[in-house]
Amino acid sequence: MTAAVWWLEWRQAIRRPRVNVLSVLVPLFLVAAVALGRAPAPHASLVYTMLFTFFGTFGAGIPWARDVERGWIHRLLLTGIHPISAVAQRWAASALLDLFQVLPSLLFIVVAYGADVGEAARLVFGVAAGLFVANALGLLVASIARSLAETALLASVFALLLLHAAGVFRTPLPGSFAETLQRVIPFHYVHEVIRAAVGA
Amino acid sequence: MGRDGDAARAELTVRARGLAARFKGRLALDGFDLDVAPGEIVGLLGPNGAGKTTALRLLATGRRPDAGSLELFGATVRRSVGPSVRRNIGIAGDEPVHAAALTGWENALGFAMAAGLPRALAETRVGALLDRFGLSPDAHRPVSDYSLGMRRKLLLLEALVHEPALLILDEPTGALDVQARALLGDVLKERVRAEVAVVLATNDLAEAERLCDRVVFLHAGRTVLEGRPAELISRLGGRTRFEFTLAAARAPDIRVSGVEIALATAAKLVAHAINGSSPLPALCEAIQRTGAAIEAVVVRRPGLDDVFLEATGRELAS
Repeated sequence: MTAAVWWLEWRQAIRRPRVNVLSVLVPLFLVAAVALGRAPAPHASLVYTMLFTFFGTFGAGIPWARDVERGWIHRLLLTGIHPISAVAQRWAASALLDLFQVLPSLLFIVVAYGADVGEAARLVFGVAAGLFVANALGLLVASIARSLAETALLASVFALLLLHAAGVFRTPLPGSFAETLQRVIPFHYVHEVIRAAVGA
Repeated sequence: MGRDGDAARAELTVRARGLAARFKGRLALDGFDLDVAPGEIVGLLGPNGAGKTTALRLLATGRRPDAGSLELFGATVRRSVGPSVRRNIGIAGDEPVHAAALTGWENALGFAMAAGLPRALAETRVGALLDRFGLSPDAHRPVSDYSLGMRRKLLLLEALVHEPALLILDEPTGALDVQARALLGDVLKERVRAEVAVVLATNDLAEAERLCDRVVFLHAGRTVLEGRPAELISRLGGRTRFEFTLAAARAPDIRVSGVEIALATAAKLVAHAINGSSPLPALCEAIQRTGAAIEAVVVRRPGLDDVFLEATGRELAS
């Protein structure tokens, strides 16, 4: 199996220093504003969960939709690379890149809220897993949307619905269907590790 | 089909029968047949919207036909196209799409690896082709800094790098300078000697006449004529073509002995004569009698554009 798509993704990431710097600074500023603004921990954890989910969903969906629109994906697939392999490589590269870009934000959360080593480790692994899921959602949405605007709209709608179903915006009644449902939504666990790290 | 027929069929690189494709509800290609043997260059010619690009997309397995069958390298192309088929095809489409942030070298290497070449071999071939296409000095500049001609060269290089058995080229010389066109001609001749089959679509008739073993004229999604360029042109006999650029209120209606009016509009009149250029004064006089002003006249031997005009009554450029 050729890893050409993986290689191309990383080379493109290296060649876009401005995008990389912005991708590190924007979430970092938002996290810093919430943490230093002494927002209540439950509210802060909600903002961070939404931030990382949208970061992953949009970070994968918008570039994929743009590359489909301009014919780049089609060109790659015509080289004979298997579509599943191409998507998997793109997904893995995009999610890992997102993780590197939010690592300073995660470090800031750990320091600002005084999380211990165990909480910090769970935070990094939980958010990494969340980014993989969010990237998968972004790619899925982009492949059914017909334009960049439609991708952005659908990504927002699906991400918000999943966050809602994950119990990020409210606590479901014990024993209810909503409580059962939230346990199968990966973002629920992302929210849990963030809550633990910020002491919510 | 007998054994000889089967053998001949298996030897074909491309065998398309009755291909049809709809584009936005319109039949863009209808009943398209094509055989291409190894070592043959076939040109698809026709006005814009004739179906050339659609035909190339089908042959490149870039989209499925709505009807008909396609065999590539002796095997029927099914719903799911395997990598072994696609890795045998080199495609240079009508738009040079690249990763703009990456350098020319990185783009070419990425495509070579995507086509299944091991990294070391890909680097060797990319380096050699960058040299050959004169892109080496700019190989490590981002493609966003490239001119359209340079991006077109890079696209051709990416189509050639994995040494495919079938090359599909859409307007390959578009935006190329004279030297690059000549180079492309040389490269194609080399590949043809190595039994590579080439299908190209072009609006450059001189290029088609120079490069192609066979041309297929498409019009409104259908094949209207097919043959070797020299043979098709020779069917027009030793005619002479007169092309008048006119300033007229309406298409002049004229008749001159020994002259056939192939096309007449208020802006242009094309006529063919069998007696060399001798009917020119009579033609000029007849046109001027209608009140039309002659702005320019071109007299030359007929070309592929006249073949298309004769077959369809329409200009190839329309």
